[in-house]
Amino acid sequence: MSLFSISDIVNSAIAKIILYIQGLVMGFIGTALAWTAYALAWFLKFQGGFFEEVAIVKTSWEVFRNFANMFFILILIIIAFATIFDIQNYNWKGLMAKFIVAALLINFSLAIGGFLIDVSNNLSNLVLNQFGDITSDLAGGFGITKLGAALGGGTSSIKAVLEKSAGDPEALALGVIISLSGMLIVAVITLLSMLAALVFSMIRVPILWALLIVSPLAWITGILPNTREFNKKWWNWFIGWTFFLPTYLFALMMGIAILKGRPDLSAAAVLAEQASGPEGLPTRAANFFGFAFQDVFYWGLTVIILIGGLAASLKASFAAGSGATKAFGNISGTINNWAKRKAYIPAIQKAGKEKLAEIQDTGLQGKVGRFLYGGERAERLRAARVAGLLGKKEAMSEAEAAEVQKNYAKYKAEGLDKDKTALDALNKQIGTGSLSKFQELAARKLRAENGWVAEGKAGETEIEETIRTAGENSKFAQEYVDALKKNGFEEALGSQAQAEDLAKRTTILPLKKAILETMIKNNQILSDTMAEMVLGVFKNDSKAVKDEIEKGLQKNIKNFSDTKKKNDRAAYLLDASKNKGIKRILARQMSEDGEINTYQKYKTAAELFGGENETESRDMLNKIIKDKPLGHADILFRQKLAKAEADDTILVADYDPLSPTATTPAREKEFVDQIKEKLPKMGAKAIAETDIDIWERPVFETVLKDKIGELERKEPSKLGKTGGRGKAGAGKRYLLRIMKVFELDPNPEKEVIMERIIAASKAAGMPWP
Amino acid sequence: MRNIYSPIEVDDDSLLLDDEKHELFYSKINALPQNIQDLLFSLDTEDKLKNIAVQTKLNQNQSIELTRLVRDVLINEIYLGDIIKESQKRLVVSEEFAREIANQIVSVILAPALEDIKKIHVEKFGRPAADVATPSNSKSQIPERDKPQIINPGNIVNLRNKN
Repeated sequence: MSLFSISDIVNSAIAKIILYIQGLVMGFIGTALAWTAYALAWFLKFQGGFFEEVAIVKTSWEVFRNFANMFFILILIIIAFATIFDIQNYNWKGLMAKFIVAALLINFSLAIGGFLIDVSNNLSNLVLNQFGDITSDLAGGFGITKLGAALGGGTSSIKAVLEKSAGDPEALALGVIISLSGMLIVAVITLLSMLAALVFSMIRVPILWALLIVSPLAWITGILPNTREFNKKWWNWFIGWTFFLPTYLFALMMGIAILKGRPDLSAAAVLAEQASGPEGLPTRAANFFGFAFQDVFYWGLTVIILIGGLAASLKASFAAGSGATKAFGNISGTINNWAKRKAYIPAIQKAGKEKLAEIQDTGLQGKVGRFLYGGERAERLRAARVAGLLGKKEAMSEAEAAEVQKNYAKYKAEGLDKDKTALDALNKQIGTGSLSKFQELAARKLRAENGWVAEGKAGETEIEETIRTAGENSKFAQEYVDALKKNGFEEALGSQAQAEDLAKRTTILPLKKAILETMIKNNQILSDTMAEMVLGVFKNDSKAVKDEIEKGLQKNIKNFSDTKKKNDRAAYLLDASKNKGIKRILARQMSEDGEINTYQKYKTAAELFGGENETESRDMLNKIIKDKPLGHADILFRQKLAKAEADDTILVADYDPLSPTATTPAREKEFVDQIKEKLPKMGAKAIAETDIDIWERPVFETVLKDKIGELERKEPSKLGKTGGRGKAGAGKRYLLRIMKVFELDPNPEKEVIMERIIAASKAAGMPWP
Repeated sequence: MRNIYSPIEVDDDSLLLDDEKHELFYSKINALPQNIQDLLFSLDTEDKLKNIAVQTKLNQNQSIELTRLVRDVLINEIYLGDIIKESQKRLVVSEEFAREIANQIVSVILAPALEDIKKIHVEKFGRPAADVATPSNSKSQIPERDKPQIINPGNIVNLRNKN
């Protein structure tokens, strides 16, 4: 036993002061913890049935339910129209089940919400019951009671600890100081955790009220695809706020269960100390290091469980990104940061972090321009190249596009998309070496998006140069031409001629396609040669793309110099030397306009559509039957003829039934019968629009003359009284109507025939001015 | 080119392109008493309409509406008692001016067949004959200076008057 030295006394005094202060703080935290725990337990028990039975919730929910019920009719109409127009996402097959479920359950939405909250509350109470006496558990967990008892004082005061430590201040007092410091940290974290639980269990009540009130809207918005986002959000919030509490209480219970076991560990340390006696220095030292290390480990474990429990319960309850997640995330972050600072984890300053991140990403450039360290970007591009070599063809393009995108986002954040002057200045740096390839491309993309590409030839050069820099088949090139297309190449290609010139000249396929698509959209395809080029350029694209292109060309087809006039269109269709693709598009347009009115045109168009049995051909025939009875008569007659004489050497489409070389009295009669049957039923406009081939048949003229004569006989024209204009009879009115069509759409060949018919009618006594 | 003063031809541009409407129009005409039909086809009616339009300084659109109004009264589409209201609405003129035009229509154009017109109108519309406006043989009671201004009277140049 050594005598007390002065330094021992000083050490002992300092240790006593530290322990005393720690004792005071612990006392304060312990009291706060006890009050918080009491408040939490009381509140959880009190809020039990405080949800769906509350008057404000019930009344407001009824208002929302009635409001939501109004929309069922509207949704039913939307589904009906979507089904009629075959809009896949909205038709009855996809939505009817959801509709019925929503219609039924919307009336139980409050009860369903209430049930889930009850489940959550029961779970919370179950966990809460497991806590037992939360205060004594926590106090015990911090070892105050049992540690005191182990020291033999029979009291839980710090004083007892100090007295026992007086015999060996270097070891025991230091051990207790470390232990109490750990206690202090964990006690604060526990207090914050309990406070978080209390605060959020209180906040949870009004939020759940609000969610219950709007629950009918959540059910009704689950029906239509466009409104499902609201439904998802509602469920996310509701489940999150409902089940967060039991989850978090479970995590707290785990932490407290560990705290409960902690006194045995501390007491074991003190007992081991006492048992070793004054000579047992080696044992004491071993115990000191062993238990001090175990203490630190123990506190660490408790902290991890308490903070980790908060994070785990958040993840379990909320989907990432919800408002509650953010709110909890902030608290969790605060606790984490506080703990980190207390544990002396070095904080990295913001600016340093950003710079480091930049170097990590873009690399560190040496003085001669070579990268001392390539950074993650270089790694990404290298990986993309390797992936490209291994067969993933788009890998390089995607990686490059991502790099451009980063610079693009940066420029946008700097406001360059709204500042043409600044962007022009940046554009001037392109090619000088001061910008990276990705920066150059990002600047060019911004110019394209804003329609700020250079005008005229300079613009053409800029566009081609940019695409070549990025790679013709790169993802960026596609994005770039899409941006140009969106603005209709306004700046660079000011005229139709310039657009046509570049479309013909450029060897960059995506650019050629984009220009042609723009020209189609602007009705700038003015010749069949350009249309042929369009079909050639898109020939390897998907069917959907080709269909769209053909539809676009159809809108342009009446602008072609060869197909502007009706007669020219008919001639083009029947010209065997013309491109079949163009003729197919022309046939569609002619069918829509009612210009397919003879067998020859019908037969040619049907062949272009793939045969007479194709849907498109059948639709065309139905239209002819409805609008062009004489055209249909022609078709029927020749079809019959083809069946009767299938081995005939005469091509049926070119067959003239009245030709002296081919006709027979039976054939002629059959054709005349068809005309006689159909013509009298036709209106004047339909007669006027009948094809000239049929007009030129003598039988047509005869039957038309007969019809007019018959009409006149039924209701004759009358001469006017002196100076009067006279009243037109039925035959004359019919003639006047046919002539009106020719007044608007002159047709000299038909008008010559009309003159003959009018002359014959006059000869028969019809007054004609 | 249609004749805008002919009740028969004023809407030829649209009627001649529609078999059904054109035939319906004539079926209405055929159902009218002969003297009303004569009025419809008479060149005299056209001249009178033109004179009224010129005297009252109607523009081309108003002249067309005037001809249509007379036609509709003659084919029993417009009730004679509503002629002032219809004139005002179709020609977009004041009530006083509409009254004067209606007076001229009745006294100058419809007079030869007025009794037949009244008869068919009473039959169709079932309203008492007393409601039907009586033609006035007197000249306009409205002094020239008090005539209301027609909206945009010179808006359309009548090329016929240029010759």
